[in-house]
Amino acid sequence: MRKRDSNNLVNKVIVYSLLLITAISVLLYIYFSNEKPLYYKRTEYFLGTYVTVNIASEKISSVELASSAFQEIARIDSKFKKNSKNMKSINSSEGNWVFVDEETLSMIEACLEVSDNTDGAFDPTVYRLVELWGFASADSTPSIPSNNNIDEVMNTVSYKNIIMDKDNNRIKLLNNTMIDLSGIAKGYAVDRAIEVIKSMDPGATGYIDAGGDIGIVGPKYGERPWVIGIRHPRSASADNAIEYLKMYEGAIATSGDYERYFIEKGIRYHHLIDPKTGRPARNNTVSATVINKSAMLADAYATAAFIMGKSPGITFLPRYGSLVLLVQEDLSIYKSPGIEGYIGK
Amino acid sequence: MKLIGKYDWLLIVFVGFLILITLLPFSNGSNYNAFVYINNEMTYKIDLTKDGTYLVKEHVVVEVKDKKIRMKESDCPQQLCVKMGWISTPGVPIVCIPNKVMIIIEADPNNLDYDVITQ
Repeated sequence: MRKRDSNNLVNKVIVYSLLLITAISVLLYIYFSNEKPLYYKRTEYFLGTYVTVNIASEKISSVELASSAFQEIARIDSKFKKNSKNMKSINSSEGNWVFVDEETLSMIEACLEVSDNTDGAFDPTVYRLVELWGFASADSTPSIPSNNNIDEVMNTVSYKNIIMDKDNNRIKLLNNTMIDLSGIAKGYAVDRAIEVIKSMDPGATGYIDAGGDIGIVGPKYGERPWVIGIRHPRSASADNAIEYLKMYEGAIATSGDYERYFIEKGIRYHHLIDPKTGRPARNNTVSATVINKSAMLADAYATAAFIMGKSPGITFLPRYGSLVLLVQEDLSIYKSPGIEGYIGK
Repeated sequence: MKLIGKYDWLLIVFVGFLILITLLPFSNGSNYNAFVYINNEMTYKIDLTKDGTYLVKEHVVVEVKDKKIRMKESDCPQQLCVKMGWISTPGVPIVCIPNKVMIIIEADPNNLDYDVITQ
């Protein structure tokens, strides 16, 4: 009797131990399979478009990181928008020297460098033309201006009208020209917001997307690339991609003729005005995407690449750290050498 | 002598049942929604599995069809939001800047072929 009892006890111990081990293994499995960092995603209006911050951190709260990022984006938005105090003081200087702070000066300097490198295809003084065509504000109705009006405004447009005195932190605008930084401010805000996040947690991962200007904070789950879809320029759906790029770091921006445009007598008039003709750029290119280390430069070079189209000049862009992908009217794709490494999903 | 008694079987079945429950993915109704934000405030949650037309704000009409959503009508001058057409992924939101209306889709990120759209 006693021996049977003890046998029974041993058996029970074995059975219960097996059950316990199974339960623990299941718990461990669940714990480890969920170990990937969770992404916090928030979208808000800024810089005349949507801004999405998608972020994960193992050190600090992602909500806190996103809030700091949005704070920096809001600061840049209010400082560089067209009617900000900062921009007004520059554009109302009437040909006199005007003092600007380091940040504004470095942005203007970056603009002038891109203008020089692209032979004026990108031009921070093109704003008056964009305004004349009615594309400057989401509240205006675009239309074709008269040739006289275009010629008149063309006289004020050239980045060469910006005179910079770096040693004394001041600039001067000639020929009644006007600087607009709100375009590249989107990319600049992305770059700065990433810096803010990195200063709080260098290991944070995610991306920031300001209306299609995207900067990578760090790889997905710390190891995988983010897959960026390039918007199909002629699809009826805005979320249809024509090509996919894998990115672990850096930034990407696209300029296309499908957002701000109107069609008159079968001709498409879009907001990417060629500073040399005063009219929407027409060179068979419908979308230009640029990869660069900086989102601000990616944005500026994407604008330039759209204006330049598939020309000999475009082959110089990789020299300035910009890889280009152009979509042509017939939906064929031109790629800078070196961009192949990014293609895929 | 039995290795496992009647009650032990009950316990094993119970533990097995618990394991099954933990491993099964939960499905709590429709997991495919669009959120409409007005002035940065989440105002409407729209089930994308049900077709319909919604007036989300005066002169702003949103349409859902075949699990896709679009801005059907808006009184903004450039019609940028209407021109965006249909969306069915979280890759890009539809934004109407003059009306301060934004449509964002929520979906399982693992089922997407990209994370975000450059445009």
